[in-house]
Amino acid sequence: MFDRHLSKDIFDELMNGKVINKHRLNNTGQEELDPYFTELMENLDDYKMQYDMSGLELVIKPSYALVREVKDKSIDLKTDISMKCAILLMILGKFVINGNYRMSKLTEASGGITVDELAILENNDDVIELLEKGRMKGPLSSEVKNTLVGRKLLLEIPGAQKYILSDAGRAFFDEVVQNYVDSETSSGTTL
Amino acid sequence: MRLNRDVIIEKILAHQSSFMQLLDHIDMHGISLEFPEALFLSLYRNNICLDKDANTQDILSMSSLLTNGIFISHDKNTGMVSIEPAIVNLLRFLDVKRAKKLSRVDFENLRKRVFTTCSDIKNADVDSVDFEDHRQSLNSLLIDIHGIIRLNCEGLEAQVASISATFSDYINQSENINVFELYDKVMALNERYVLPCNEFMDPVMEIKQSLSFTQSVLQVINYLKDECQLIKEANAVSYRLSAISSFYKDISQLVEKLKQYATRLAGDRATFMAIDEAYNSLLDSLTPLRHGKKKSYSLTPDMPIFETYTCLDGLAKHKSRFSALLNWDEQKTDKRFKEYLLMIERTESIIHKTPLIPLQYIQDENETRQFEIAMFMMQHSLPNTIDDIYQYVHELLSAEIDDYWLGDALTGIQEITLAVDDSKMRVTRQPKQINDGHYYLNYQPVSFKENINV
Repeated sequence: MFDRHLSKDIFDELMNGKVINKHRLNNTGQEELDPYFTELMENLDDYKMQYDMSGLELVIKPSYALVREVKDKSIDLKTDISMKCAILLMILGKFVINGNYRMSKLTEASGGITVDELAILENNDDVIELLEKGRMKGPLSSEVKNTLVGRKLLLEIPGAQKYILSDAGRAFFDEVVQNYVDSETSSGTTL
Repeated sequence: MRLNRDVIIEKILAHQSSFMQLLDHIDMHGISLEFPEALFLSLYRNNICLDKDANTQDILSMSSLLTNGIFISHDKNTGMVSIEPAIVNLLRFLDVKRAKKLSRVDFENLRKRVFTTCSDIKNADVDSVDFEDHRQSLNSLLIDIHGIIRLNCEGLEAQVASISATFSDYINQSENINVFELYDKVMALNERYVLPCNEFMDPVMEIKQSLSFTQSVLQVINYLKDECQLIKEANAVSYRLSAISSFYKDISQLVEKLKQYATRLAGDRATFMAIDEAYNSLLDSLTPLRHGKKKSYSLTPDMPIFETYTCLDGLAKHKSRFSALLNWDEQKTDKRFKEYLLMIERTESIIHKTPLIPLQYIQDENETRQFEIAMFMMQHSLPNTIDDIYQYVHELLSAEIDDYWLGDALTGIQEITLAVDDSKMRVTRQPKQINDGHYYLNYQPVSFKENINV
């Protein structure tokens, strides 16, 4: 049986354009299971029906969930938000490469990208142009805060002013790598 | 000025850090033992000249080193100076990290020499001088190989230890280490130097149309034992082989360690290459938008660059879209009107088609009753004189009709008054009343004086 209190919170989260991740950070910055995701998985049929009846689709991935409108064509699912998220995540990925960091900088609680590092990135010409062309008016730090942290693609480490990727954020980079592997495989190049 | 070499070597050892830099340059730029004159002069000026012993400057000067054979030649045209191999070997011996790493070509040359010598032993007459010379040559060669392998292994271990430290720093998020450079370094060390050494000593390595180092030596050992009955000599060769093969395990561990690093780094490298390519593609997609016009200068979600990123498809704030509709202010804006039109278009018009019923004759009960009363009154023969028409009709009809009421009397009275002449009727002023028990009627009595048929 679904939990009425949780279902209301889940509804608010999903309808406000946030994803629900399998894991969240506790007060000490350690990963723990997110009760929202557990609630969704334990009562999946009920929740699917709830959003089906409202003309929406509850998308359940192995490590996160989101709600979207039902569209006939995949191109119609491309939203401003998904575009902005992709741009910002790629900026963070490039930062890791240029800084000679490992990806764990973005994935492990021992790492994390700091607010100061974001402030330094704001002066990068490519970043400035990407934000402008992506119709993001704010500085990078506030766009990251509003768009990525606000939608739970990044998680803030409590008390550290540092951010790491959530399950959904990691899924984005997994997809980037998979696309690359597929393209290299189809072109016959060996990694 | 001619000097004893031990004096010069003593000074070189005192300033070995400077000479090691010459060695690094040689290792970095090729296999010939040459370095630029400018490099030596720089080291001489910055390091050697600072020595408190004034003689050092003279002993280690360019001219002194050339005169005493430490430097073999100085080409004025190219500015390159060549150094005596013995000094290079001495420096390599001092620092195992700088020991010359043997390449696949070096090991192949060693294997060929061993194979040839072993073949010569087997082809020579056991009692001949050549046989003894070849046997001694093999012993000497195995001693050389033992030394070379030992030095090579020490050098490789030092190199792998250096890479291990770098890898550890990389794992601990050091910013100074580039994953691509580290990966290339690991792969180069493994493939160019460690693997050939490992393969050289591999006991099960098979070589087409020839024999491996181990197979060649084992064949000779068996030949000496079985064919020549030279057990002591065979054991001596066997000991040498065991000594050399003892490094195989160490090298195998290095190979394993480097493979682990390479596997780990390859994963990160692939991730970084993927992100780098995705980022560069994103930047490339900006190029057509740099046209300086005021329209179509921004990225849009439907562009091909975003097509392959599907995991966040449909992510949007659904509440805001609905609240915009529900929280309209009271002002009359065109937005409201447009939304009204949209709503009309979206709404399927529902026509309530009520089935039509054919018009039917509805018989009025009152009308039927009045008609029957009229017919009754017409058929009734009235007397010639009626003192009170109201009273008369009232009594007549109440006796005739079961569910009589006062309205029936009015119908009957109307029929009589229509049928008789008005001049024969008289109205009395004194009012009277009739009732049916439920209704009453006050009237002025009307009398009739002639017997007529209605």
